[in-house]
Amino acid sequence: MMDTGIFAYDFGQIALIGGILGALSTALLGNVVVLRKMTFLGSGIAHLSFVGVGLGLLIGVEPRIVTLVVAITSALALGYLSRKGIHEDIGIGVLFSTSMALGIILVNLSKVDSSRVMAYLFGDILAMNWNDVKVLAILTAIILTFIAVFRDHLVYSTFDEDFSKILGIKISVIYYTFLVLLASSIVLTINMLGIILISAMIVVPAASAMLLSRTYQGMFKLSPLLSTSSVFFGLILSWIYDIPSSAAIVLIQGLAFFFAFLIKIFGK
Amino acid sequence: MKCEYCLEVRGLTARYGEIVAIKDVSFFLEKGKFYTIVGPNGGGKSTLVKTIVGIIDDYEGEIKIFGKSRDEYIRERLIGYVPQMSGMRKFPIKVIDVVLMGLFRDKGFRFKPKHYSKAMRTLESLGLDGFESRLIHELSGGQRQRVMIARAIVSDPEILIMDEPTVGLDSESQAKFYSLVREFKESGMTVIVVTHDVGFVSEYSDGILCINKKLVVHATDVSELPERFFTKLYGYGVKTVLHHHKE
Ligand SMILES: Nc1ncnc2c1ncn2[C@@H]1O[C@H](COP(=O)(O)OP(=O)(O)O)[C@@H](O)[C@H]1O
Ligand SMILES: [Mg+2]
Repeated sequence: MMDTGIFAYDFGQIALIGGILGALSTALLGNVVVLRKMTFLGSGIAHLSFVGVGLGLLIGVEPRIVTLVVAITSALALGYLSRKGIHEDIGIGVLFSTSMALGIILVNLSKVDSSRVMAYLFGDILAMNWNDVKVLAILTAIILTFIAVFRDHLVYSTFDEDFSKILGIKISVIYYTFLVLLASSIVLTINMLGIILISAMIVVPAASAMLLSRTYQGMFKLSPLLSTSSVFFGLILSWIYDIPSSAAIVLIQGLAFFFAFLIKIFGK
Repeated sequence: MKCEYCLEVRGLTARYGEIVAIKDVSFFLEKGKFYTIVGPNGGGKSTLVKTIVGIIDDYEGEIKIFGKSRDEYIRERLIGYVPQMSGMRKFPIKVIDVVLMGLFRDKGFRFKPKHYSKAMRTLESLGLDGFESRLIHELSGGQRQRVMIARAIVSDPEILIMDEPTVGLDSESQAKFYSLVREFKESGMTVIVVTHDVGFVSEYSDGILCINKKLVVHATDVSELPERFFTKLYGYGVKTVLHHHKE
């Protein structure tokens, strides 16, 4: 039997429920990120958000509020650039590392306890509280509704933007709403997974689902399943071997991708 | 009021920033006929078509469809549109789902069995039964072209516009394509095809529009056009080719 002792504790239950909510949100939106080939978006928003963390700590405003503002602004800006056809290039790489450096300097100037900073960088899913879970539950409900109603709008405008225009789909409104929701889900899961690992949560389950299912409909079913089960098994793994849970979760997602890759290659 | 024309275009100008793609284009097309649009690459054919079907909104001039303004018409009904093919990138979408896109406006919250059966019938009518579960990029160029036609006609449009649909088809498939156009026309549809197949144009089409940015010649018969017109347009005498073709 697996040692599921972690879920007997309050922090374990909070981590499980919060983790599953975060995994659902990021995996569903991650499908759109992967289909649009905008994989730089997740790590980009996360890196730029670190400036928000530093700024919040420095001026003494709740970092998550400042981070949310910075994340949404950068999501809209990066999304705009992406629509103009600018993808992962040198300029964007420089922007990411520069913002990270700026964040580190701001954090340093604020003279906060370095353990708080580590939590933002590497995440600490076990430090969540019920309040975090409530906020995350509301956001997840919004994202589930958004995807349920607009999945085809999002997919059509990715596959064939001109034809979507003819159909009367409000392409820009839906696209920028998607970016705002993505930025929000990143900010609310940053304290679980950390800035460095959050982009894995967005891209990896969707990428594995794309390997395993032929159609976009299949992706939207499979990626939340892969993502939430990696949270479940990751937490157990971290409990048994006493390793950081965010790393354990991402490691399992990576393994799932590896197996999906093997199935894709040898399964035919 | 009975309207004489199904499509009226007056003084249409469209730009991409500084570039004027089409300038002051005017023409009138009748219902139930087959028209072709010819002209050199970069002459503005695709821009014209995209403006008519509702992809490009930024234009000057007037477009009327069955007596209504363009926006009023396309709110009620789709104009069938087959885009100019560019290399199809890999995308995990099935053929049936591509065709269903044409019924999107009708679907409400989700597609219903009647939508699926309509899409299947349309695929069958184009000889694509058995392909519905393939992914779109797993098809050959000609098959993919027919899927795009299926998507355009599945909503029973009154007007069907196709942008260079025969590029890359062998001559047998081209002939098949033009007999398909004739079927559409016989069913009452107005069909507009952007093409370089000037050979087929003279045999089948009821009217020809020659577009080179500002220059527009509208003729009901290719033989009305002076040979030097084509020489100017394409750099060679198309009529010479045509006469040769008709022998
Ligand atoms: N998206 C675009 N942005 C800028 N210029 C464009 C765009 N699409 C077309 N053009 C320009 O407009 C002109 C007309 O192009 P197009 O309508 O595609 O011609 P055709 O279909 O006859 O080959 C060309 O000069 C082309 O370079
Ligand atoms: Mg063109």
